Amino acid sequence: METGSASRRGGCAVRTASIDDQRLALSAYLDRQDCSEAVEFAPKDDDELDAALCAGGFDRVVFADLDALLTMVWKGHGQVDRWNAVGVRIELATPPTPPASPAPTTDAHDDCARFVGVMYDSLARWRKQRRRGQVIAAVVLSALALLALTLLFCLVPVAM
Amino acid sequence: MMAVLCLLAAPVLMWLGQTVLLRRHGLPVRWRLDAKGAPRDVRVGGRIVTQVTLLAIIVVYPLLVGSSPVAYYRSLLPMSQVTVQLAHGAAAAVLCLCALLGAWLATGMLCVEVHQARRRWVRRLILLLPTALLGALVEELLFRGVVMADLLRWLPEVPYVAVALAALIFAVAHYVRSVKRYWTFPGHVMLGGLLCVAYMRTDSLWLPVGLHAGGILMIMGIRPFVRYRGPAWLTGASIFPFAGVVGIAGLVVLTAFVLTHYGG
Repeated sequence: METGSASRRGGCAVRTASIDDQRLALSAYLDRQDCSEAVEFAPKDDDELDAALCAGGFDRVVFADLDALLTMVWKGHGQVDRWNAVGVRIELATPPTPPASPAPTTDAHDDCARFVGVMYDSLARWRKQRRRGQVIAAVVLSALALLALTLLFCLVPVAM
Repeated sequence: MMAVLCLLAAPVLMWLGQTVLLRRHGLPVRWRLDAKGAPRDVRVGGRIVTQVTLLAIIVVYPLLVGSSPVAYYRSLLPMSQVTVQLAHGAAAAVLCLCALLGAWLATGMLCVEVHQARRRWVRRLILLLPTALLGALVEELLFRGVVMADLLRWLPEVPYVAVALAALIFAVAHYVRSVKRYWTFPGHVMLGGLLCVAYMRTDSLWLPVGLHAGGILMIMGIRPFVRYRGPAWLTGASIFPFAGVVGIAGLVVLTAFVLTHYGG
């Protein structure tokens, strides 16, 4: 499998997974689908994958599961409307299943509710992760600003 | 004008170096300084040629004006001012960028997103301090210690014209090689202006080195962990937060700060 950029047209792109279960499911799916020539994109390169898909660089894109696809959308790198416009087929190695009851149901209302539940869980997880990142960034920036301010207070009378 | 002539020779030497490296790989000559898509040897070799050329200018210029390099740069780097001016410059730059980045973070125009592999960003963070200090020192020796000092000797009656010319040369030098973005040019001019004013008011390179190193430290330190979401004209982008409208306003404030606190 290749990694990195994708200037070529056609073929399959894969968003790699960082969790073991997802990785196994993705690997099994790719073996079944005969995607040995797929180009891999790590989650940190979501912007590059999005750009390649929007430019029509691939016919297909494979995600480990719905959460992986949605995480890319929440991050602002999943322009699904543009992928659709250039005819990219989205595939999930693990189809979305409700966490409470994996059994299929014929009740459309239940299916909808479960699907919304999966989406909401994904969004809540991403929000939590983003909030943690923002808190760390705010603490680091504040500490640096206070350190710089202390230095300035100590130095200004000398400099003047 | 000796320094400007030396600096004009630099792109010619860099282009000759690039051409030799390209031809060695059997690749066609490129009329621009652009190593994009070229083999690693050409890219690394190009960088080495650039650094050697710039260092050669730094060493040769004092000899051309009849001084030894050691004596020349010792006069520009007086040890009596090193702590105060270096720390003062770095603290001012860090504070300004913290305020700017904090504002973007609070308004969602900057989001935290690790987009480099762990090994890469750990290596970058370990090398951050020496990279910032060395990078700032080399650029200040060249653009303030050589170019700005030469222009001040040439135009002693109109120092602010020398500041404007040196700031412009500093900015243009960042676009000699082919780059991704050209809209950052006004930001580079303003940054050059701040560093030239800092040198002019102190007759020393420590304050500009501190300002420059503080800026590199912040910008390169946060680079692997954030992505800009706001319009680039407002927030800047990538390693150019100083090139957006607010960044340029911040540089104006810093310049006023230097002018106020280092009254000449």
